[in-house]
Amino acid sequence: MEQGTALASLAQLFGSPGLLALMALAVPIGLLVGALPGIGGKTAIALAIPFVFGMEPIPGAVFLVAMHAVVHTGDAIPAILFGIPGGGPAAATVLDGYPLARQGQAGRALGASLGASAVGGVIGAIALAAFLPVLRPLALAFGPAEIFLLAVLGISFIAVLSGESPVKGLAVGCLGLLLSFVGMDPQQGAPRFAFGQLFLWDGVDVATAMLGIFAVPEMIALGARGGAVSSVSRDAAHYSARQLWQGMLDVWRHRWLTLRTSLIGVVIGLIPGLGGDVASWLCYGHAVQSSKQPERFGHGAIEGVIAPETANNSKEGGALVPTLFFAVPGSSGMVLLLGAFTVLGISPGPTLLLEGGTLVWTLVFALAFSNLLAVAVFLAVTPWLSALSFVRGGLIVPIVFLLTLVGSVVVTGMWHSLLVLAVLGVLGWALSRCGWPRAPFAIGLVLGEIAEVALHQSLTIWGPRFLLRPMALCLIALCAAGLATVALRGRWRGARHA
Amino acid sequence: MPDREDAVLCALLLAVFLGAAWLALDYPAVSRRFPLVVAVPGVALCAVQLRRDLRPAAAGVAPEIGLAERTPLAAELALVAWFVGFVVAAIALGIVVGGALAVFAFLRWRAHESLGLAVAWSAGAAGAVHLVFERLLGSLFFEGLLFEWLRSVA
Repeated sequence: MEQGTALASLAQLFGSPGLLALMALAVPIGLLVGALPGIGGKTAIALAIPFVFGMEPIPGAVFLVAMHAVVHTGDAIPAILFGIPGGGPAAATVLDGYPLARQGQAGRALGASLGASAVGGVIGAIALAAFLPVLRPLALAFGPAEIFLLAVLGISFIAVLSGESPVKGLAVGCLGLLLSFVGMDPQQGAPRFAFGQLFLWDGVDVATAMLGIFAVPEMIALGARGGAVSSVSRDAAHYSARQLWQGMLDVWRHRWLTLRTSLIGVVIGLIPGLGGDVASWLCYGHAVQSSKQPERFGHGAIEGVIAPETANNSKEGGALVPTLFFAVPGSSGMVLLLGAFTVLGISPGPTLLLEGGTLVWTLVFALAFSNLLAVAVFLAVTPWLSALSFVRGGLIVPIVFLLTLVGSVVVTGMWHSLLVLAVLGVLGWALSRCGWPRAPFAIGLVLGEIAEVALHQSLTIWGPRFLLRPMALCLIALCAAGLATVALRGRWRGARHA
Repeated sequence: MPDREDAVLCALLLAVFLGAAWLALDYPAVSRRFPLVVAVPGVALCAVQLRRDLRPAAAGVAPEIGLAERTPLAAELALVAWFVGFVVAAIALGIVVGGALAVFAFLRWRAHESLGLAVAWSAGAAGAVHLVFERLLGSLFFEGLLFEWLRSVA
């Protein structure tokens, strides 16, 4: 029965020139939107709603899913070439993607990001299909207690990402956490650290913070250093299509990491409220933790590109599960997708699981195919994009400064965010100059609010006994194991140096 | 010198954590729980790091990864000033006009590009931002505080 529906949906998708044309249109739009800082998937869906209004449910949904699925493939482009995270989830890619571009390996980093995104996206689609029979118990097993401990697990990665400066890393992580508390207290509704400024009541926007902490310092360094993004000449870099393929082969070389981070991304996507930022940072942390040479990360480790990029795309398959079948959107992007589905006459919820077989399977195939289609589009434009890393910095820096301003204002819709951008840009520069790790800041900022809200909910529902729930115990064990690994690795390294 | 820069940054962060902890004390009990849980360890961590940075022995310690490549502070401070200038221009004159002027100024007086290239590059950037974000995507940028003030005066 299920197989018959799946095959019929597959035939419908590939037998319809109209659906294929819609996907061929949606994929470049998704890539472009991802590459423009500050736009991101949710804005793209919001802007696409008027265009899909009036369409039949399946074509409209296919267009939206195909576009949304490849946004994170596109946002790796500015992250790798200029150190600008197109959105929060791409910030983790900057850490190693940009150093690779500086070493003249932009093509390899872009190839790895492309391969990882495609594999992650396809695995996400497979996971969506595979999870269909076992959805409800899994989704319902995650309550506030598990979300809190998952956030704590992510925060524990701060220690992993701190490298050889654990004190600095932890301090910066605390700073990120502190900044996540700016705005209205989720429990009492009282403003905290707002200094009487209304625009701070909404908190610090993550995209603005990422632009300030990651993009601005890189451009300041580039402008002061002179030359191009790539520190080696174009001839010395030997850029060719071979470099791109080398990057894609890196995904195969690190296939187990790719598989693990894809699955982590799917699971993160399944859990409402965590979102893409968490997926990419958790997977980046996992890549560092599982590496035999963690000191390479932050200086151009290809695994540092692969891990967040697989997670970014695979989580979309996972995130569609609660959105489609429980009408519980896992992120703000999924909220908009849910709204757009409703506009199309689709009623997300358990009945869709029972009665909407053709639509669901068509979306599964659209998700997989759009990720593969993105490879073809991306391959066609990457040689031109990689050349940008050899343009002299004097021309790049002002444009990137302008794009960070645009990105910040587009995301928040308020000019006041420029003040936050300025402050965080200077802070990011100071941290970068003094060699303080910046990744822990992002983890703290992203996970702080999630952890606080979930802890309050857990304490209200279960009291301190929430720590004794079975899945909570598993997550506590994972946190302990992660921290123990870091401690043991530190001692081992210390002993080796001695 | 790098150690002094580190110490200054560390002292600033210490002040931020101390200020946050002090502010948090005024919040209701539930609201201050998390900020205090974070700010107090932050104070301790910065204090430990500051002590390390100020230790006389720190001068003899090998620089951490990346620090050896540091460009002169004055050169980077100039770029920081340019970035702040971009923000001020955007707030005063709006993203499109202020941004275009800031790009032009940077290209002409910082990057020492030719007048023609600076005009073309800045006009192209402003035009692209206007077309893509304002026309195509329908984003509404604010017009800038200066223009708002002039409008209110007029």
